[in-house]
Amino acid sequence: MSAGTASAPGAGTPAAAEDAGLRMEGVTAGYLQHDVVLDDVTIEARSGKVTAVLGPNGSGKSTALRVLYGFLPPRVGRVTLDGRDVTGLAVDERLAAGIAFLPQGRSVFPRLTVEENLRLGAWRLRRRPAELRAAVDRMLERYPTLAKLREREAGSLSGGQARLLEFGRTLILDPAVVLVDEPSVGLAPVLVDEVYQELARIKEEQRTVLLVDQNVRSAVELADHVYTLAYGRNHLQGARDEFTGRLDELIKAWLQL
Amino acid sequence: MSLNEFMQTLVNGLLLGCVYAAFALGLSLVLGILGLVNVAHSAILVLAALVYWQLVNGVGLDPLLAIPLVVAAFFLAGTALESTIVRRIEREPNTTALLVFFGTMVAIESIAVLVWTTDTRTVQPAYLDTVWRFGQVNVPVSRVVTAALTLVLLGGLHLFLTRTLTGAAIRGMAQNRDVAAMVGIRVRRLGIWVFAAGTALAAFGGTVLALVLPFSPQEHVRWLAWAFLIVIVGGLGSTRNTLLAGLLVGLLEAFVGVLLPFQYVYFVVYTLLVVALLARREGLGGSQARTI
Repeated sequence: MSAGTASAPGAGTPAAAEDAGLRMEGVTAGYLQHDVVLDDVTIEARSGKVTAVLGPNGSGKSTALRVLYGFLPPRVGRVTLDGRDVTGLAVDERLAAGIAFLPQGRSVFPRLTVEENLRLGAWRLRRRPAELRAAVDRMLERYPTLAKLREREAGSLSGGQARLLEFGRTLILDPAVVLVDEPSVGLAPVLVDEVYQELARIKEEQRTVLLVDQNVRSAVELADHVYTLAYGRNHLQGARDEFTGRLDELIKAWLQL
Repeated sequence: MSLNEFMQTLVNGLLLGCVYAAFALGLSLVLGILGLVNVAHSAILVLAALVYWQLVNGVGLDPLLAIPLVVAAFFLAGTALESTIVRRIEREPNTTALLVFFGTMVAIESIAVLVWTTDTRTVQPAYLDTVWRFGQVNVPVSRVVTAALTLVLLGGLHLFLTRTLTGAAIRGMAQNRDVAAMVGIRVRRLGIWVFAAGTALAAFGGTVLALVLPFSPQEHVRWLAWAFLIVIVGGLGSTRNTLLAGLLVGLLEAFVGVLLPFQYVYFVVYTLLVVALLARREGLGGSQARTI
């Protein structure tokens, strides 16, 4: 585990491997004119790995995801995907590049049916109806629960069913990179387990995952690499094993921050 | 009431109901999808009626051909209005938007008075200005044509919103704008289309107004009240409910007009409004209760 600004993660590895994945470099960003939610933050989600970003409330984790997804343009710094600069790409262009986002909290369209929700997830394929239909069918196959509910309004689903629909909507374009924001917040413990089973499946499928969660223990267990943020800056980073034994210590340190 | 009288009143009420549905359609769409209380709706409606009057009575265009021309022109005007004024107030509190639309209404009304004066006008719809007779029941052709057009438009809009992906995107945008943006829908651009469509539908309502009733630039607020009444009775943004509410108000007005002295019409119709407001409890800004 190395402390500090983490300006050169993976130093010493070959250049090509260093490029693969989604990376933000030296990003400074904020919502209002002068506030700085992220201050010179560098995070790298390595290709095919799960990277967890941890930190106390208000440390800038969710904002980092928003920058990576193109919802918030960075004031300084850049975002690259497999070495290509994607900083200025709009959301639909990011989707086309293979990046998807599962937002925090309930995010279904409540008055649309399950199927319509999935179809909107594949909005990018709207001019290719055959591909769109195939994509929806793939998701209904992947989640048999949803197939039975396809005509139901999403607002009438249970918490767990809605979470599956949100996963389906996020994965429908078969993204290479999945950004996941607080997937277990507000869910019953049983459902948290289901969410993490689903995340494990996404990991098995060799997708690049960048995971932000308050549920530190589960997140670290799943992760290959861990970053921590504090006050909008890089704090610690390292391989998962360096963190597993020290979680209590870490959480205590956050409470004192 | 004799059977003939009943049939005549029924027909009058249904045809009038379609007229009212046409008045309310654009308002319902803009309120239901974008959450904007567009009080300039009726001013747009009357401006369209005046332009339509100019084309039919002045230029001598065919009354049916002039309808799509006016609607198309107002669609373009709607995109202009969206990108100059409406986009600035989208994220503002409702009261700000209300004030801005009120100002827009006054501006449109003033322009209409400057160009067309305050005279009351009627369109001479050429071949539409005849009456069909079925036994003792008289059916004015202009009303049948406008009712038919309204039904086709309503049906088309309903199918578009419920059966197409773009329709789902529009409804999705009303339900959760952030998630709509997250799946890659360009919500700003779609918002422009929706507002422009609302303006075009208001213009369609204007052509209907011009075909069936006398109108003047300063008397539009009455139609605004009627349109709001229908939107509130029917609930926001649902095309089918807009039609049903329009028919209800039309039938009510027709039958009350026959059975009771004239002055009771407003009393009964506004009582309906009060009951609808009390029963629905969603108010005008009721974004959380949008039905679409």
